[in-house]
Amino acid sequence: MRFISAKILNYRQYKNLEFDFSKTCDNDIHAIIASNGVGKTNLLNAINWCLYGKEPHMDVSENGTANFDDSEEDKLSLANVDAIEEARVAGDSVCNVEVSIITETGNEVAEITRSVPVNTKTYYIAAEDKFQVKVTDQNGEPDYKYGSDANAYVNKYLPEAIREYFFFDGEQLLKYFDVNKKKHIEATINSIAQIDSLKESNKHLLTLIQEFRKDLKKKDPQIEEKEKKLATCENNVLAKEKDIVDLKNGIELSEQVINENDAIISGTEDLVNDNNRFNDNQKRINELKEKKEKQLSTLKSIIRQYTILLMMYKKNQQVYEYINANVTDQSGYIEEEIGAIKKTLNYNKCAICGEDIDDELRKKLQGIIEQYDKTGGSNIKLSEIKNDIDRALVRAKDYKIEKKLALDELGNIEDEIDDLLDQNEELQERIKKYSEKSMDEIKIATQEKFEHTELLKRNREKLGAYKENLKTLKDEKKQATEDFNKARETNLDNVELNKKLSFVCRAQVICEAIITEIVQAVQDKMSEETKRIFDELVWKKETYGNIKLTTDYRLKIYHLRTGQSCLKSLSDAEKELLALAFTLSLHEVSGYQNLLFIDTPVGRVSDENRTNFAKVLLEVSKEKQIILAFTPSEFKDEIEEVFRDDVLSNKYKLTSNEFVTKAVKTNGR
Amino acid sequence: MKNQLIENKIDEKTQDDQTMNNFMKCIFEVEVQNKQYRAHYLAYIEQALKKEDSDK
Repeated sequence: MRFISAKILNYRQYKNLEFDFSKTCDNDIHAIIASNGVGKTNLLNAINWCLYGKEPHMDVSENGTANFDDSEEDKLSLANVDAIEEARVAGDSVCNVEVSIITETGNEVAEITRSVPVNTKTYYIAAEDKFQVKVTDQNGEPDYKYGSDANAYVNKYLPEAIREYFFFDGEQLLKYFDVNKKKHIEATINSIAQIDSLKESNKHLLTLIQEFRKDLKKKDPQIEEKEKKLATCENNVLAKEKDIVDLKNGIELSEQVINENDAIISGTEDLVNDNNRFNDNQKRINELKEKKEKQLSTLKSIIRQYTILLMMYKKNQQVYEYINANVTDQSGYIEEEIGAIKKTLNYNKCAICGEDIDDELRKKLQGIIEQYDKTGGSNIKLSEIKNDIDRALVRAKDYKIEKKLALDELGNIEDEIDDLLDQNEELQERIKKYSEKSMDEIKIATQEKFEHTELLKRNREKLGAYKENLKTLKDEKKQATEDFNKARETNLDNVELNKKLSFVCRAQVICEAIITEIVQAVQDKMSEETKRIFDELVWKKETYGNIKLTTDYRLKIYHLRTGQSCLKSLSDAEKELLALAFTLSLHEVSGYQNLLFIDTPVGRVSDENRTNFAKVLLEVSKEKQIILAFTPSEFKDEIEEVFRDDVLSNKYKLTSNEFVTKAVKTNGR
Repeated sequence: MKNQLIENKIDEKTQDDQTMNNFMKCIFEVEVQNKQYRAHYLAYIEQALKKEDSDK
């Protein structure tokens, strides 16, 4: 299906807007350029409202699906304010809001129209909306469909369940392969491949089996016993399967948490280390500052200690030299001599030779004693002082050494402080550069990531054990089923019921086998198609190898040379391309070969490959209709060069005043 | 809208059993069209068993 045209009347900013989407050149590509606020996004809303009666407000929830809001407030703002006022002035009680899209699917043309009257006084919706599809076949015969028939027609070609794979925001492509989207991808694939319907069949067959078994056991105690055993085995299997689902959910949650925290930590891998280093350094700086203070007081105390010695140094030296020059230290000798003289005088005999002494000698000796008493003591004292001065002089010489040692230590401390301050300045610069994310946020993210990585490891190990356990329980169930079947087959009272049960059991086994194989087949087909389309479009031809949709619905892309999974290292443009290839393969596999409407297709791709991605869209438009809504800042330079007027089928520029947006066709076709 | 992959898979799994093939396709259609399953399923089971009996 492709759009031929769209007409929007009195819908939000659009009072009267018409778009022609005819293919006028090789590329079925159409560009709409509109500034933010002009109503670019409301184009998507208008299309969705027309087709499904809902408006995705581009408020994309975590699982990637748009939220719908059907509140009165929203319905109120559905109508164009200018149009309502004009209608009121003209005396009309209602103003009609209408969106009409003309589509073509093969030879069939359909005009899909939704309209709703809005009260011009209250601004409220005045009545239920009208939904109509006028289908015209190749013979020109019109067929009108209303209400549920009209809905069925739209859903036949553009199923609402997968509408976001036809009409979406460019950002959606970038977030396509987030871990938290895999459930959504799984649900989508199950929906479009009708695996959901198969699963419903299986569920209903199981319900009937239970009912038939219940009827049978009522009539035979032996069957009842076997059925009881079988029911226990089935419950055990179910309980274990539930445990496995819970565990898988836990694993998924951990993966999601790790992924989310990775996004927070990303680019700040060294931040925590840097921050720790900064704090350690700061702590050490504080210690060193205290040490410096102590060292300074040690130095002061050394200086104080030596001040007197140094001040006296010169005098001391002079005194020392004087004593040295004038006083002979003979204290030991004089003491001995004086003692001998005193002994001689006391005994009148020479203390050395024992001879008597005469008066003259006596007088002489008494003179020596008197002289000694007058001067001899002072000399001894001077000798002692000389020794003290000598010690003081020697001590004063230590000043330089002690001072040098203290200063060296102080210098070392100061050097270390300076070094740490330099380091911290650098660290602070780095920390500032990381991002505005708060340190606490990063610390929590790092811790959470660590915890969930551990939990993930444990849960994965547990999952292996659970799966083994489930195998055993299934074997037990198989045995119990055989025993039950044996028991009921020998009972001939309930032939019809037995037949029904046998038939439904057979059908259920086939159904389960089909589900398993179809899931695998769809995954294989999706992988194959995505790879084929990606290979056709990618600009790097020698880099990427296999692409695989895994059993748990993750898309993996492998490097051609290393064989390693490399999804995370893809550039933004390459990621968008992979998502586009996946979307197109979804179209292929589901059989819904419809147009693509992309809002802001390259606005969020900042790398150098955005031009390549734009060229890819141009290439795809040779086979499929693509409508792109750009902002003026997005549609310039290299993008404008790719989407030149001569390669675009149609190009519109939206302009607006406060209430009304107008579309101006600018490529002159 | 029929899913060809599923149709093919049903054919593959029931290639020697036409009655089962019909039954599987019928109940699948019930689910695709989102109809009330119980009455339809029971009717299809009756039909299938009658067919099996008559084939014997």
